[in-house]
Amino acid sequence: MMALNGFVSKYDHKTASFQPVQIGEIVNEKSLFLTSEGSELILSYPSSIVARFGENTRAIVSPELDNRLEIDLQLGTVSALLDPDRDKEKEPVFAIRGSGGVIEAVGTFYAITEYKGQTYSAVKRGEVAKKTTPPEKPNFSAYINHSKSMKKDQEKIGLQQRKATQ
Amino acid sequence: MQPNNSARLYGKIMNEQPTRVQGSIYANGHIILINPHGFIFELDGTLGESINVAKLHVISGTADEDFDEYTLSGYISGGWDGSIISDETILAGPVNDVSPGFFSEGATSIIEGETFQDATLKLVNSDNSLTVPIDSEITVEGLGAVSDLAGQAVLQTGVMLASQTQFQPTTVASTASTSSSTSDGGNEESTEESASDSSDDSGNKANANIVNSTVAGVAPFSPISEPILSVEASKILESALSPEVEQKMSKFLTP
Repeated sequence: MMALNGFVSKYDHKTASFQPVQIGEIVNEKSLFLTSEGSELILSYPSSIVARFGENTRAIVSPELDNRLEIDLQLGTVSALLDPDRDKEKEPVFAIRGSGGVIEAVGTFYAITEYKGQTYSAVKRGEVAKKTTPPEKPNFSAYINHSKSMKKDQEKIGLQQRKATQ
Repeated sequence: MQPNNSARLYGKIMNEQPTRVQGSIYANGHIILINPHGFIFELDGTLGESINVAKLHVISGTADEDFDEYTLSGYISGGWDGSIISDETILAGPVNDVSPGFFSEGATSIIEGETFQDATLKLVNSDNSLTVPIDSEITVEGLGAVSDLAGQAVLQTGVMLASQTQFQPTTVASTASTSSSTSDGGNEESTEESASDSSDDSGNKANANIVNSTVAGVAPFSPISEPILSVEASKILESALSPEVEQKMSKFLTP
């Protein structure tokens, strides 16, 4: 993890609270990140991959597992920049998972966004391989509960911000 | 007045009749209306004039407190006085007997257990079919001359796969195969249904059998594999792939 602007927080399992993310922090376990409005987070992977979380993004970042790096995007936008010259045989596969499926990069600059319950993607350069998922079952409860969880998250962040300013 | 715009007011109506929503609704938070027997909107004016809430949820059915368990029933109808459903409204339940313009762009409706985002669907029939009125034809790249509404309907492959489309002089009736689509590794399969013909005023037959996002029988159509991006999503993605963003990211691209 190399850079961030604005307020970015990460869920801490030990304290069961959201903690501000520090520049230079290393992700060595599955972590939920939240970027607030006007904020961004740039993750730098050692394998010539950079991911950027745009504002109002909520995503789970996983460390390398079975030669695979994956970001589970729940809300917001993630851009991915991959060095096209990286060793694709040895380096881990990089993928972003949205509600609509998984997008794996071959060597490219692309972005995906979770917007109003659908996953959209755009490729600026290179190629991506998409694995779409079938339409899900009725998801109204998820919509409501998602709103609830977002509200709880926002309340926690607000509380922490107030504590920090006191 | 609610404490904030995230506050939720639940209104469970448990009588044996559909709820008639008349007059106006004003709130600074969420309003959730639940009635297993449905709703009839009889507003005096348009949405902006009659409903002013952070988000209006209309659930034609039953649901528990956490919405973990819910059943859709009844019907939601109305909209005769103009467009009443906007992006500030969530509908859950079968929709019946609504006027054209009931949905406006950005509305979300959950119908027959399926979710339609950025609704461009104008009317959903109780037999799981869609009737999409079109006012005029436009040219959509890759599709040829079709209605924008029809284009949106058939292109929403991630949400709905139209299995049968009938072109009529003034309307497109699209029989949707809700949730009959499956996909694996990008290869989609769908339930194939035979096309039925319809004739326009000039006697020309126009029918389309849409299978696996491919339209057969109508020359201007071409295979579709991507949903049309919503305007807002396109803007977000364009911003996320801007040269400034790339320049910023490339600084951290370690070999």
